[in-house]
Amino acid sequence: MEIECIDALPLVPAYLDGELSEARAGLLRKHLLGCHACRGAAQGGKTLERWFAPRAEAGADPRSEFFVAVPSGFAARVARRALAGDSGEREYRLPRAKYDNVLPFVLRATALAAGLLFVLAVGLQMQSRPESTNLSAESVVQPVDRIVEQFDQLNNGGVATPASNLQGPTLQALRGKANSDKSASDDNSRAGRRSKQQ
Amino acid sequence: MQSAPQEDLSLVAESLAGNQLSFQLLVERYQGRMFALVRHYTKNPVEIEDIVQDTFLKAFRRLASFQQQASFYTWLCRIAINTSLDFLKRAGRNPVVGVEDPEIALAPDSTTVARPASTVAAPDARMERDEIARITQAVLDELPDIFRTVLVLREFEDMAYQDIADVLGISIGTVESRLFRARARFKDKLLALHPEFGES
Repeated sequence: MEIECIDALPLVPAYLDGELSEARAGLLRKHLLGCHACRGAAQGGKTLERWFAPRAEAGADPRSEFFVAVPSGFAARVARRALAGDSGEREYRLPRAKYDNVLPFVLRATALAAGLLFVLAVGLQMQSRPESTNLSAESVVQPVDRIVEQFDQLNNGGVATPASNLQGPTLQALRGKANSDKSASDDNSRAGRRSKQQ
Repeated sequence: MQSAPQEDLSLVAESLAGNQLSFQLLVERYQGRMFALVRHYTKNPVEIEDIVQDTFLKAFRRLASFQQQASFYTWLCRIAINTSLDFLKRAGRNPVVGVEDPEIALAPDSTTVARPASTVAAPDARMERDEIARITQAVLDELPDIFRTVLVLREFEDMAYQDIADVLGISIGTVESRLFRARARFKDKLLALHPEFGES
């Protein structure tokens, strides 16, 4: 049985770590003997060790920045807390964010501004309401007679004259004229019909 | 799989009986390794101390559930890693985790498999140890948690695949594939951050 490169490559790290079973290692070994590319990849895997080893050494060297010293009395303190019933399930002391002090101020100012806007909106609405609760249109709309009277006043040069003394066409005159025009047009239409019948 | 050393088992039993000194001895035995392990997740000394302290306090609370077939250290590592990741999550750090679906990350990736693994050169012999360590740590910090953790356990804690599987609660096959992908990701990030280490 033989394996392809695509199956062989993932086995290489485990092979280099000495973690492959002998059966799988045998298969890989056989493939590596005949595959130059996979041998190159296996060799490349070894170079990674040279990146990890210095970090591992530095972590154990007290002079290195990667070394973390255990604070004195740490174990005694932890054991005391453990026996006192501290479960360790707690919030961590997270570092304070840069804008921690600004945020409450911004929130308060926003809430205040929102309140002021609300009061202003309510005030404006109250002001635009009608003074009376009677919403009838009669008190607002002027009667036609009165409007015509005002037109007449304008026609007469702005001189206020009673509607009965008007020299121009009065409302009654206008109405009379409208009625006579209507009857004339009715007569005309009747005459037309008669001539058609004849 | 390592079996729990006899001293650990005795100390665990005595701690369960309420012996403070025995638990203190257990803490002293593993505190250095725990501080070094948690250092891979945060460099803030105060945060490291908080996380390690909570690790031991949680361990004490769950001491009765400790399965004595596994080593105490392996069991402790599992708690420490979960506590560290929980801390990072609460602190809103390592956003890489948020955008990466582990299933996608672990899905077969033809580009990773097809690419030869020898594209990264070894560090220059003239570079100082701490300089290399800084680059390595910076690259590790950029990796998603699932890859960083498996690399830390293998490369720095020198754990066997079975122990890694026990710590992470996954199968050995998953450890193999995850390590393979983690190393490939490490090389990619290293080349992205430092193209000068690419090998033609």
